[in-house]
Amino acid sequence: MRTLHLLTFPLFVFLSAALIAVASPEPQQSVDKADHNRQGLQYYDEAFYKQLPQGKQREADAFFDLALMEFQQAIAANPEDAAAYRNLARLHYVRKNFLQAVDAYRTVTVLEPQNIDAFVLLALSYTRIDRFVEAIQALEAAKNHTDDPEVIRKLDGYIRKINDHNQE
Amino acid sequence: MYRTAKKSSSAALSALIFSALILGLSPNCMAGDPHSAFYSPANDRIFWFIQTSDTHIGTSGSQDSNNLSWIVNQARSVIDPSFILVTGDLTDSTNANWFGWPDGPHQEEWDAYKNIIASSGIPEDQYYDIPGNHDAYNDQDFSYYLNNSIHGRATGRTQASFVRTFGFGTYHFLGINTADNTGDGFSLTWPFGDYAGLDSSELSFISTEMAKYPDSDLTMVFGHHPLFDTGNADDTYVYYGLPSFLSLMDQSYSSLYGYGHTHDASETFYVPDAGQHEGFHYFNVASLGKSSSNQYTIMAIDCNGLSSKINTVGSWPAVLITAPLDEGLGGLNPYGYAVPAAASNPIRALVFDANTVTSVQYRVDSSTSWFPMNRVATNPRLWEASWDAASLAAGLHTLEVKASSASGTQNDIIKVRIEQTSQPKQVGAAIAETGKYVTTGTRKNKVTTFQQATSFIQGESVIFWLQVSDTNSSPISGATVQLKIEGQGLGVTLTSTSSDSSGSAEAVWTTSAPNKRATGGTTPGTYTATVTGVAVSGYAWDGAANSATITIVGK
Repeated sequence: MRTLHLLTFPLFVFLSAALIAVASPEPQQSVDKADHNRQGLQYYDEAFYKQLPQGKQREADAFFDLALMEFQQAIAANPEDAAAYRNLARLHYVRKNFLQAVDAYRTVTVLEPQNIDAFVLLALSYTRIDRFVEAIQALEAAKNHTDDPEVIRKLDGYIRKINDHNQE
Repeated sequence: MYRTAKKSSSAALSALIFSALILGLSPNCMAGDPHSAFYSPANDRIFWFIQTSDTHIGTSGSQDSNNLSWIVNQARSVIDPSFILVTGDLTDSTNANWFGWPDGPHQEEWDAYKNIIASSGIPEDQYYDIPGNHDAYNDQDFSYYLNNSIHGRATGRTQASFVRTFGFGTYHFLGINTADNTGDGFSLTWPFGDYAGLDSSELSFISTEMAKYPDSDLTMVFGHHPLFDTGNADDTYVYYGLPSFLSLMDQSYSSLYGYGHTHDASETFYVPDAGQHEGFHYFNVASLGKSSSNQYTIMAIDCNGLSSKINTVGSWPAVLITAPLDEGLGGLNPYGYAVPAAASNPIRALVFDANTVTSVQYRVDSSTSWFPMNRVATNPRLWEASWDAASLAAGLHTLEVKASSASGTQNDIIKVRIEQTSQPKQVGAAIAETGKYVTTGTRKNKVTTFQQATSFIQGESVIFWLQVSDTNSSPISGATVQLKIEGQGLGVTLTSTSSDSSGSAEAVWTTSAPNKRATGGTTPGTYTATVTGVAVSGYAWDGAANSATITIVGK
């Protein structure tokens, strides 16, 4: 029974991946960077929204791996593709690969400095690996890219939470 | 900005399409009448339920899990509600991160949520959970909600529609999904990843379900978001689909919109700018997971009148006056009724406590004199008293009920409007005929007729035709009659259908036949059917216990 399961699982992922690839609106032979992003998102959706909520971690991991390859190819095709970095960062984040998420979010903040949410997600990723000084630096950096007093107030609130935690 | 504009135009298009859709629906096909509430001594036309919201399972440093567990275990056991309705933000979507930044969905939070509910053993038809914005961030299709929530898993839908039917009426409840439909993640800038609203498919569901129950006495709707701007810039509210939704609320003559989201509690009444009806109660309950008080509401329907009390987790006793109705409910209650300045007015209150309730008392206008209330034998959570209001001046008065136990003392205070008029109009019911339905012929020639009779064979259905009229012998419609059947050691209570325009109503007693061994079944002998009450808005039963005698014979 276990042997059968081991055999059928890769087959399941292969067939599902093929199905997703076929369902892609563009022909695979003319894949450009946008298609890699789109394809990657389809694998990501399959993993995160279909497999994980049903408790299918192994199946989800397989699709996450496929999504990772697609996002990496999109970035290889265009190293300034902010959308690809956002997708990659999110993928690492939900897989709790916070070190890699930090790298990807840091690039997003460089490519899209007006994206304040990316700075917060970068800071949040830093807190997950106990790099609090850099987390605060990311939040301070975000304040330089907005003049919305309400947003600055909230960023200060996050900085305070990190400081409070460090004092405990 | 582009995204917002895009959403707005798509929402506007949805609203347009939907408006065209609902214009085809006749308002008459919708149901509910909050004005059907009536003041009556009948103490068996009552049920109650709980609304709570914003459980936020996964919040850092809160009582989220403990409070949800308390609701589905202790509160459910003590209060014994007809159902519990949870209006969204079931999970926090933060998985306890320090910033409180919703970065989920997180399966860990949903697992914790599911485990709390599962371990309580609460059945699916007693627990309705609908999504909020925290259940929608980064999840456009509500996958985590649909795979993990109780209602989502049971139905595959993000909205709920259900009825509660009793001998005295049918009540329709809707749980609507006001959460964002874009799947955006949380954001520091407006609308904070929460472009809340009702799209055309959500509105279509609401419209269809409202039209499905034309005979319901009351319609009550619950959702996560406020419908309108709260004045707090951080509070999102229903940005699209609102005109269509308000139109549906008006057409269905809904009594209530109950919501959460703000983590504040309030009870107001919404008066529409336009529409056929007066509006609806607009109640906000605080957060079960994040607030420190006012985390759940007990609502009761007593003789079609709505009463409500917001309560705090762990605080007993909980007291809710259900009759007379609170004229001040929501600051303005057009669905209340005047109380006659009579010598024996009924007062009823629900009292819930984990400990034994030692006393329940009432007083009027903050008097120093308290009067005892008695537990209703057939409904141990309900207490009642007869109140002498004959000497009270016309106008508003306060009525307070307090309950005491080892847990402490709690109260409920309402406003009642005394009407200094003559005694209320009286209504009575006579048993005009008894008999049975007889079917003759076959197939196309099949005919069912009523046949008058006073003698019936075991297993037959005994039909009581009742004539409801006022003191001038004018027929009264919309009344239900209570009959008590007694004899051979049996005591059965029947409630009639609602009387028609000629004052006629029907009550059915289904007797049972003996089994194959010729044992059991309704005991043969003489039975007496007696009128024990007549309930209709604006009238009091005249107390005439008219009766009729029938005989059951062996098969």
